[in-house]
Amino acid sequence: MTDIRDVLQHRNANLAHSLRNSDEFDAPAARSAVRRKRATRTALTSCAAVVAVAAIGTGAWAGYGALQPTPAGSPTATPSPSVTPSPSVTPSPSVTPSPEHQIVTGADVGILERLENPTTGETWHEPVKIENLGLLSIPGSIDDTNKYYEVGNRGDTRIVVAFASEDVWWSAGRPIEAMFELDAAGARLIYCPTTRMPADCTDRGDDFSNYEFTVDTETHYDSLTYPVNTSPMDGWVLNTAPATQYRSIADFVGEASEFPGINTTPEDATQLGRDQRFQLAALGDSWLMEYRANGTVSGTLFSRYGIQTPYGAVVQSDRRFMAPWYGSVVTWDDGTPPSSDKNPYGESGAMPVAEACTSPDETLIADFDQKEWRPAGTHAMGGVVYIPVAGGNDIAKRTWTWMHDNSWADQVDPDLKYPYDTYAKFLGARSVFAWQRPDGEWVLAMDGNAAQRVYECA
Amino acid sequence: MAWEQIFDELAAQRSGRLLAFATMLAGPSQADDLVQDAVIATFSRRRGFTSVGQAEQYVRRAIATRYIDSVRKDASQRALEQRTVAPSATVPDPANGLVSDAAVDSALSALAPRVRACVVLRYIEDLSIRETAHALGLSEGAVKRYTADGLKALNQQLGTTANGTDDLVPISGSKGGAR
Repeated sequence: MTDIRDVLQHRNANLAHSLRNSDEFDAPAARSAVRRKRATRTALTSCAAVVAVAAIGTGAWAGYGALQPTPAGSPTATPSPSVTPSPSVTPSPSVTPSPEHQIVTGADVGILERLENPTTGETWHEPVKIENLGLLSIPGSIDDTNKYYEVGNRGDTRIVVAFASEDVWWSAGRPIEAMFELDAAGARLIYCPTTRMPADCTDRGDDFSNYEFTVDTETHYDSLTYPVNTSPMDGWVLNTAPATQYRSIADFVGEASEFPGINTTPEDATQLGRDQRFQLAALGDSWLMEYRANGTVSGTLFSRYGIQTPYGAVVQSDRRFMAPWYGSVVTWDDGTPPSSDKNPYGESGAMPVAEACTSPDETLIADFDQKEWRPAGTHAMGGVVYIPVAGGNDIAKRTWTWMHDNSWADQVDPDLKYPYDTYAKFLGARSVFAWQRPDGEWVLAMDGNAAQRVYECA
Repeated sequence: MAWEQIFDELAAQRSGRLLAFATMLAGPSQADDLVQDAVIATFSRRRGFTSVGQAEQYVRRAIATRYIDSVRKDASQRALEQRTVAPSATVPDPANGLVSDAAVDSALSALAPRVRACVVLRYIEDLSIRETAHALGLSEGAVKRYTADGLKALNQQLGTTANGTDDLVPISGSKGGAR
């Protein structure tokens, strides 16, 4: 036996045989942990649904902040993103910038010009499900029944996307796994669909040689090439730069959970968080979007950014679009040194108030009451940072209670005990604070050290 | 099928295979933790598994992801990637041409973590380069280079050969080879 594959397979088989009755996998402990986590998720999901119904039922969204829900995606009363926005709808902007406001500057001006006037010949339309072309095997598609949708044309060619037939484990939603152009000559995999792809995009080998398509690294679409920075309004810039590493084509062409006929699992719907949707800036026929859903802590909203493509897929931010005030430390007016403690996940500075591992881009306060806060510092962009008044306030208390009560990593490792065993200590460390976004919304943030402690993330 | 039933079947029938895979991927010291974490994470999400085989596939991918994530977070592990493969004291038995389990373990343990992960996913899991890149969060070019380096080191240590590696480019080689 000299082939390395045979040698490795042989060793693996020997190991599996010798370990088949071993006690190294603690099944009872794993079972208990799964039960506990599933129970927690059930409670959170139920709570989120109730809050959503209550808020919408009482008209609490009306007049809330400067943004209004768009006609394309009216608020729903459940966490399920059952709304299927049609790309053919011409939505009205949710943000009204000043007349002289420029949403892009510098080199991005040329990108926006091409977004608005594409020169590469593509047109997009509402996704239309077509037969399973069987062009490729998609990781995560256990039963190999992938879905194919036609989403556009370029000349006589059809532009088709493919994605897994079911929920995939590595991402929320239905990340598009491939984009093809089909014509009489056959299928071409469009491997680098924008002009702003990572450098390794063309670094492909012969691993597609067994498939019945060719690989095209030259074709790109102006209408899917987005700016590095986009400013919805004065003082508010989001980093809309594409991913810097080619992990998945979905980072550039989006995920397809809102395509017609796609059913999203309740868990994915919660992770996607698209109960409310707001159009921040037009990028040609695409839209820079803000999505909101009820937050982990009662009285908060999760905010996520994304780009809705002309064919209805959503390029998710994956926290890439975050405004630059996050991750930084707060400068306190009274000279208190900024926190530099890192939590077990390696995070420090300001971060969204959210469940560990699944943070949104931002957390907003649904009903901000100025009387409960006092100015105490500035964030990285110079905005005023507020902390709870003496004795705290309701939302700070709810934040501490949630983070404290949902921290159980110390059951595995005592060093991972939640650091604030009392609300007073939590407040004393200036663990939670707020500032106003340029559009008038109030952002709730916490120090990284105040985050929930769960073993799965630590 | 209820998740408990799938879980119990997985624990009873597949834990050995999962531990073996994790051992090949990360070594014996991390294997049990990787399996434990991956099983908990997989079953904590409400997936509608219809068979134990389907659940096992998810757990195996979760093991790989967690391993590579742990490598990213651990600076000391990253330093391992800088080292060259040490000369091996283990050689195949010239009498029968077989390679001992100990020799395989030793050779694998000498590989840098990402290199090892690429070799194991490509040659034990039989994943394509694209699937391996997806599972590990690496570029496809990196997967090719890591795999080529790993195979070269293993072949040198174990006296083995590798077929079907024409698409692989060693880190030290020309970048143009696989394009």
